[in-house]
This record gives sequence, C-alpha cells and structure tokens, in this order.
Amino acid sequence: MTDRPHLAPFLALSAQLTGFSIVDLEGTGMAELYHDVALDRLGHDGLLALLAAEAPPGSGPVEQGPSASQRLIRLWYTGLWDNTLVDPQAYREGLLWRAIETNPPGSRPPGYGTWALEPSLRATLARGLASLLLVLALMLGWGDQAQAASETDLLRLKQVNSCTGCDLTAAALARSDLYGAAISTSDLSGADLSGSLLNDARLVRSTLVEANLENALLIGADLSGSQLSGADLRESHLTNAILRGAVLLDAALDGADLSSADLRQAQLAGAHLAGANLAGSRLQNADLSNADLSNADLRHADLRKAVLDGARLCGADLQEALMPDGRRADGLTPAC
Amino acid sequence: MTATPPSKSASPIQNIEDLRAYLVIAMQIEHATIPPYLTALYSIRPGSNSEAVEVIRSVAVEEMLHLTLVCNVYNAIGGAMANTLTADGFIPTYPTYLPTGETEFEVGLRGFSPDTIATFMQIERMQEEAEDAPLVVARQHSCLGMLPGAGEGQQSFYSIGLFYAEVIRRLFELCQELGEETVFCGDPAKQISQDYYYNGAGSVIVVHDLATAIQALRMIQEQGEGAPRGHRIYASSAVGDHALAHYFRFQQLQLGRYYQTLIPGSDEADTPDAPTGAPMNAAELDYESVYPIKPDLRLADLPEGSDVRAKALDFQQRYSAFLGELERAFDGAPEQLIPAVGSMFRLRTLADELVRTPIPGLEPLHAAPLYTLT
Repeated sequence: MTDRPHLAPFLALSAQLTGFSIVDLEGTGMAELYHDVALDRLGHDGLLALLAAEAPPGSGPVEQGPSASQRLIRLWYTGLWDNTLVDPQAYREGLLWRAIETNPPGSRPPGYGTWALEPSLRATLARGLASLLLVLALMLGWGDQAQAASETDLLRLKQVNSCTGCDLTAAALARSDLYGAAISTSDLSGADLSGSLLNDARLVRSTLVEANLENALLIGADLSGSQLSGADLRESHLTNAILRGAVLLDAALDGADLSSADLRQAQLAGAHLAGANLAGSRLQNADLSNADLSNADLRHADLRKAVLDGARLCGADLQEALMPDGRRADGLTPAC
Repeated sequence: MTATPPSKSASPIQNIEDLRAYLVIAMQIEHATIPPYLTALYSIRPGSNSEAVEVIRSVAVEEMLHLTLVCNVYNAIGGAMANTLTADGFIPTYPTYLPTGETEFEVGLRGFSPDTIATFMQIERMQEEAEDAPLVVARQHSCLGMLPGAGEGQQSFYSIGLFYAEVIRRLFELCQELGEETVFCGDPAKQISQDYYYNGAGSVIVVHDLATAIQALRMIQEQGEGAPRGHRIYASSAVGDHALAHYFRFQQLQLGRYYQTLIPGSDEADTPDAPTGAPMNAAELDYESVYPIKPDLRLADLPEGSDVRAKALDFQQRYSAFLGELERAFDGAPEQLIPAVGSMFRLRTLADELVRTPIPGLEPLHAAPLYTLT
C-alpha cells in the first residue's frame, strides 16, 4: 500500500474548495487517485505549497493557466485535469452530477421518466452559495474565466488587444471588441466569444476547440491552421476570413457567412454547414466528407479536389461552382 | 457576463450622435477623394494612357459607391441627410488634408503625373504592423467622443481603413449598449438599393442591422486597401472574381506591371509590392500626353468676363446642384438617383471642355473643373 502522508490535508482542502464534505469526497472513490494526479502534475513542492495555501492564484509551477486550486476544483467536479479526463471512472464520479442532481449521461441510468421530475435545489443550497455559483459557472461556461484562463493573459488581451501564445481557455469574452486583435497560437478552447467583434483579428494556429463563436464577426480574420473542432460558429460572419488548413471537424457553421473565405485544405468532415453562405469561397482540397451542406450557397465556390463523400448537398446552389473533378457544376440544384 | 468595458461617454444618446457625426465625416472623406481622381482622369488627352485611364476611372467609380454605402449606413441609424452633402465645408478647399485627421500628406487637384499617382497611393494606403501586434488599440484606450481632425482634442487615423475600423467599433459598442433595434431605427425607404444603383463598381448593400452595416463598411475598407490581415491585395467578392484594391491598382502604374489576383497554375495571388502579371504598355504610359491644367485652380485664376470663367462657373453651379440632387436622393427619394447620375454625366462633358481650354494670361496652363459649392 502506497504511503500518502498528505492525503488527509488534501481531502480537507478539497472539501473547502468544493463545498462537499470529506465523507462525500471519499464516497467518490477518487480521493487517492486525485491526490496522486495532483502530486504528479504539481510535483511534491507544488502540492505542499497548495496544501499550505501559499500559492497565489495563477502562479503555480506551470507559468500560465489556472492556479493549482482552480485545477483541483475542476478535477473534483469534472474529472478533468487541463481538459484531459484522468480516469474513465472520474467522469461518472464528478461532483458536477451530484451538484445538479442528475446522473452522468450515458453512464448511470437515471430511471425511466425521471428526467421529467423537477430537480430539488435543497441539497445544493445546503452546500452554500459559493458552490452553487461555481456549478452555475461551470454549466454556463462563463465563470470559467477564473477556472481556466490565465487572469494575467486575459487582462493583457483586454488592455493591449494582443496576447499571442496565451492561455485563454474558457475565457469569458462574449460580445467583446477584439477588432484586429493579435491572438495567434493562443489556446481559446471552450472560450465564449459569442457575438464578439473579431474583424481582421489574427488567430493563426490558435486552438478554439469547442469555443462559442456564435454570431461572432470574424470578417477578414486570419484563422489559418487553427483548431476549431466542435466550435459553435452558427450565424457567424466569416467573409474573406482565412481558414486555410483549419480543423473544423463537427463544427457548427449553420447559417454562417463564409463568402469569399479561404478554406483550402480545411478539414470540415462532419461539419454542419446547412444554409451557410459559401459563395465564392475557396475549398480546394478541403475535406467535406459527411458535411451537411444542405441549402448552402456554393455559387462560384471552388471545390476542386475537395472530398465530398457522404456530404449532404440537397438544395445547395452550385451555380458556376468548380466541382472536385475540375468541371463547372451543371447548375442543377441537387435533390433531397 | 458581458466583457464590453463600460463606455466613458456621457450618454448613449451622445454616442449615437457622435456616430452620426462620424458618418458625415465619412461622406466627406469619400467625396474628398473624387475631385482629385476625376481631375487627373480628365487631364489625360483622349486616346492616350488608356491603361491609366481605366485604373483611375475604376477607382473613382468605386468611391461613388462608397459614398452611397456610407449614406445607407447613416440613414439606417436614423441620420438626417439634410444639409450634409450641401453643407458649407463639405467640399474641401484643395489642396487639403483628408478628413481622417492625418496631416502627413495633402491632396490636390492636379493633372496626371507620377507625383499624382504617389499621392493617390497615400490616400489608399494601409497600416502595416508586426505579426504579433494588434491592428488597433484596445477599446478602453481609444478616445471616445473625439472626432477626426488635426489638432488638440482630435483623433487622427493613419488610413481610411482604420477610420472605418473605428466606425465599426463604435457601431458595435452602441449596439451592445442600446440594442440593435434601437440603433438601427432609420427609415428603410431611404435605403439605396440595386434598383437605383447601376454600374460596375460592386454592389450596393441595403443596411438594416449591425451585420449589413459592417458588410457595407467592410466593402469600403477592402476596396481601398485590400484585407489587412494576410496582406491580401484584393477585395472579397461573392462572385469569385477578386478585384484588386485601389492602392495596388495605382501601384501598377508606378511599377509598370499588372498584379495577378490568381497566378495561373497556382491558387495564389501576388504578394504586395511584387506584381508578376503582364507589363504595362510602357510606350502607352505617357505623362506628356496630359493637358497642362493649373493645379488647384480657383475661380480667381480665371479672368473676369472670360468665356472660360463663365464655363467654370457653369460647372461649379451644376456640381453644387448635383450634390443637392444626391442629397435628396439619399433623403427618401431614391428614384431621384437616376436623374442625378444623368447630371453627373453631363458634368463630365463640361469638365472635358474646361481642361482643353487655355487660361487667358496664364498660357500654357489650362483650366479645370471647379469643385466648390455655390
């Protein structure tokens, strides 16, 4: 049996941070694993500093990113350490499910029809307002500013409109004015940028996995080589944007304006492009397999050497489009 | 939840008026470029410099589109057109600085020459910035409530594109503050649509919300200087044919070579300052084949009682009347745009006559159109 001299203080601190009792935490069966993960990721000194509450926010052994305590809260609630699930079991044992009184989807059956029952907030309230707010923040994805993004980086972006190579994960930036911002190679995974003004912003090779960019203004923005898988780009404005080689697997682009956008070599497999405006866009060598292009405007689009296997094109307007085989489309709208 | 910093201006109402004032300045900027372009264009002797004629003509026509687009945005946010295009001072006295507040170069009414083309490139210039530098400063550091212009308490913008960046940001901010419906309160009947706008300079955009307003302003930015990020030399176009931005169109005359927006056998466009297209017809580019017009001509330069003075006065009056017709067309009578354009073409004939006429006492200098309000 491994000796864990710091397990007791680790649990005590965890109880304070999460708003759950030590008994609750032990009940998850994850205490020892999480202790070991924290020890491994923070190092012995890092863990001791955390237990002694010496670590000021944002100054862990990792230079940028959330503080150790923020990471620990996230670990208990979601089973994630820096967006990686530490153990399959950690998913179903996340405190998140208890806090919102539901069962982890796909993991513990909740019982037929129970989804129709109203949740009782009593138990949650008993754990105190702090933990409730935390849960709300996690659910809505905006409180994650304190959870993830480096506060220093976020502040820098807001002050100088520039932050390259920064940790802006889950940053709350909805409806922000980031016109022409320089944010290349930054991590904006899970960030909320919905409705933001990002015209001419430079976001080269940035990570925007699962980011919320709904209705964002990204006209002329440079997103070449960026990771946008699972991002929500519905109704966004991407006219003349550069998305060359960008990865947009399963991204939601319904109703987005991508006219004249450069999407060469973009990976759009499974992307949702229903009703999107792709007029005059450049899609050479793009992978559109299984993408939903129904009712999309593809007039004058250049689809040479693009992969369209399994793509839905019903109702799409292909007038004057250059097809994968290099020929002009016959102008007929594919039937549904 | 919102990350938008609070506005430093006194009130939202002040902000919307501020924004309208910006758009009136935008009308002045767009218009201010037209007389210099047209003067250079008309100074070229018929049958010569056909490539230069096409470059300058195509740019001037797009500036007219830009003026229309600005008026559509202005009307969409409830601006009052009365006394805008016909206001005292709407037409600058040339030579002049652009109303962007930038005082590095002056724009005059000159004949076609290498210097004139260099000035035209300044008009359409773009900001260059390092890879990791922002294009504009963070909102909280900008000067809310300051109008463009030179001097104390005024803001200046390096390029016309950056001036519009500011307009877009103010518009965005106002919509956050007041809601889009409140900001876009204008009468839709005042919008100029394709029904009234005929020519080959792109298409006019009817403005009714934030997205269409930004689209319209974006078209102005891109047609002038291209897309700043990625340093593209062309403006986006839904029909797939990439039109070269004004700056690069003029630069072709300087470098003696055409740009290619699509290099054959590749999917790329030329990079700035390095056109790889066909050479311009050097024999054809003839700066001598230009009427020797008097730079920045004023009425006082033309002798009292002379025929040329009468003709210049006629032009001046018709130009003023033309701006009045435009103002009415933009103020709820879009169908008036069609006769207004007719007046514009009649002005062209008169301008041609002026540049061919020597000024008595100032020979060999010729007259030119007089762009002042009467």
